[in-house]
Amino acid sequence: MTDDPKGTTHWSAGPLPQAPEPEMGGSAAGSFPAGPAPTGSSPSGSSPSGSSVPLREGFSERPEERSQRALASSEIARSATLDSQVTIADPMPGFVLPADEARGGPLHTLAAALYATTRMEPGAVAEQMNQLGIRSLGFVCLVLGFVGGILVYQAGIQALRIVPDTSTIGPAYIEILVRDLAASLTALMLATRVGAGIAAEIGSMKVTDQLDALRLSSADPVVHLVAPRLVASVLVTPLLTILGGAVALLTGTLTGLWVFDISLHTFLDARYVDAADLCAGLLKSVAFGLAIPVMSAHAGLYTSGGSQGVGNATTRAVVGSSLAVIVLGFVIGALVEVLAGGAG
Amino acid sequence: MEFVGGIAVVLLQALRATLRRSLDVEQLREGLIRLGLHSLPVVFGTALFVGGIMVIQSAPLMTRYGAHSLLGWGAGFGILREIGPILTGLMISGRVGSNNTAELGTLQVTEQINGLRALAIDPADYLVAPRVLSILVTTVVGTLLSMAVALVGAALTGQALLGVHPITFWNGLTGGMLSWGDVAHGMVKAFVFGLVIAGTSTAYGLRAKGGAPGVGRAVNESVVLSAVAIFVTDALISFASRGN
Repeated sequence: MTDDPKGTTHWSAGPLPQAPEPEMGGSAAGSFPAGPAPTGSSPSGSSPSGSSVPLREGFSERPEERSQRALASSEIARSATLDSQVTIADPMPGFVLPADEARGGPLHTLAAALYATTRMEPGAVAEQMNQLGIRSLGFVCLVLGFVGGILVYQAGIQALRIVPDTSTIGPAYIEILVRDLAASLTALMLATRVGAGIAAEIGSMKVTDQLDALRLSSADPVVHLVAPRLVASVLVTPLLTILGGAVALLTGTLTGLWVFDISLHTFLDARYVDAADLCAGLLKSVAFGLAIPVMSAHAGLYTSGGSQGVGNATTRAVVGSSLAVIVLGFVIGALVEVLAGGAG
Repeated sequence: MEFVGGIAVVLLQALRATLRRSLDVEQLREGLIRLGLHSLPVVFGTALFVGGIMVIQSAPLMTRYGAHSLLGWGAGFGILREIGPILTGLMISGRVGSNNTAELGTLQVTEQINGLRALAIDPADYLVAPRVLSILVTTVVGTLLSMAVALVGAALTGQALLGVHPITFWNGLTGGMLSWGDVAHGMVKAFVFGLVIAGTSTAYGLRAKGGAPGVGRAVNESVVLSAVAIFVTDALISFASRGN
């Protein structure tokens, strides 16, 4: 207790010489001065706000000297060979600091996640593909199977109202399945299931300060949590779309066969499907695969306020992902329609 | 079975509280505003784009047959009978249902529902019935309004993309092949979806256990099961109604 004021007066009164500074920077304790360095948040690390030395005698120094010294110390930090210092002196444009989370929308998260894909751990993507893909398979197939049956049933009834001809139902159904339906419905289901899962997981890590714990272990949450989910989702969504489309085709064909007596040969006729349809479908599924984890991870990373906040984040994730799917579907559909219409 | 039973218990509790007029009116009013009124922008935004998507996707069929006068019928049929109720249901399940589960789950894991019982307040009157009624009303009214918005979106896209005049669209819509029966069909679906969403989200919220992660799990399960139940009941209603 009595030593404490003594110690403080010693540090503030004694003008620190320049000499100890390089030692500080070069020694093992040098990881400490690098701690506050990235508050400048510039990628080059050229303007760190302070090191341990200005912290101690901060009031006795003029700003110019201070910045000069900070520059010098950052040079030292950069030339040092310690790994932790190199990473911190050159922060990625992501969420290294909690302060970085205060800015930016989903696009910021997208940029950070894309940048982080180069630093992912091997095996993380496979784990997430299992988590996001395999576990959603039954759900997606169930829903698309039911929708396939309903659509053919409703379309058949309406077609019979106008012309008693059921031969175009199959080709038209296959075309709309390829163009839009398989991709959009799969994505809407994934937005619900995967989106809610990602947001709940990352959000509860955030409110229990586990993200900060990751940062303390010099593990970037974006690299370890967001990027693997993003890559896995982009890889898995087209595959799930194809599988779900196949199931919808199967149930649709069976409905046609049993309810309207449409033969397999008449129903399974892909004459309306062209390259533009295939491109539109694939483009959509990739875009949806990108949008869903970004919207959900964004909602999760920006969670605040306890378990109530996790619930809100989940809501925002599901709504944001679903809206993104619908808006992207509209935009890509209109784009392909205009381009293909212009070409043909 | 547990799923169906949970929904049934919640819905019966809500029905009983409503019939006895013992439900908390203040909570009901707040629920209608918070769960209902505040979801309308999301529902409208979705509906507008969905109407556009319907037209974009039916464009090749329409141009192939030169059947522009049928555009209103095609879009109207799809929106009124299937897409309107399903998409409104999915959006409400995502926004309102998950919120409801999260709130009730938080109340449950923090023992606040037992706290209500200790104060001699019946959770069925105070929490369950107002929420179920709010979600039901929101789904039905939201579907009705979103149908109108989706038709406007379809008409606008039809004019921009295919050059179909809105009056042609309107004539196709009212040309006799669609009737109020189709609207009623959509509204029946909306009513059932409202019951499904309200029942599932409330039941799963009340059954949450295991702290904050348990709430997350409950939200996830409730949203997924609501979506599945929406599609399954939609198929059942469609097949049962035989096109009427």
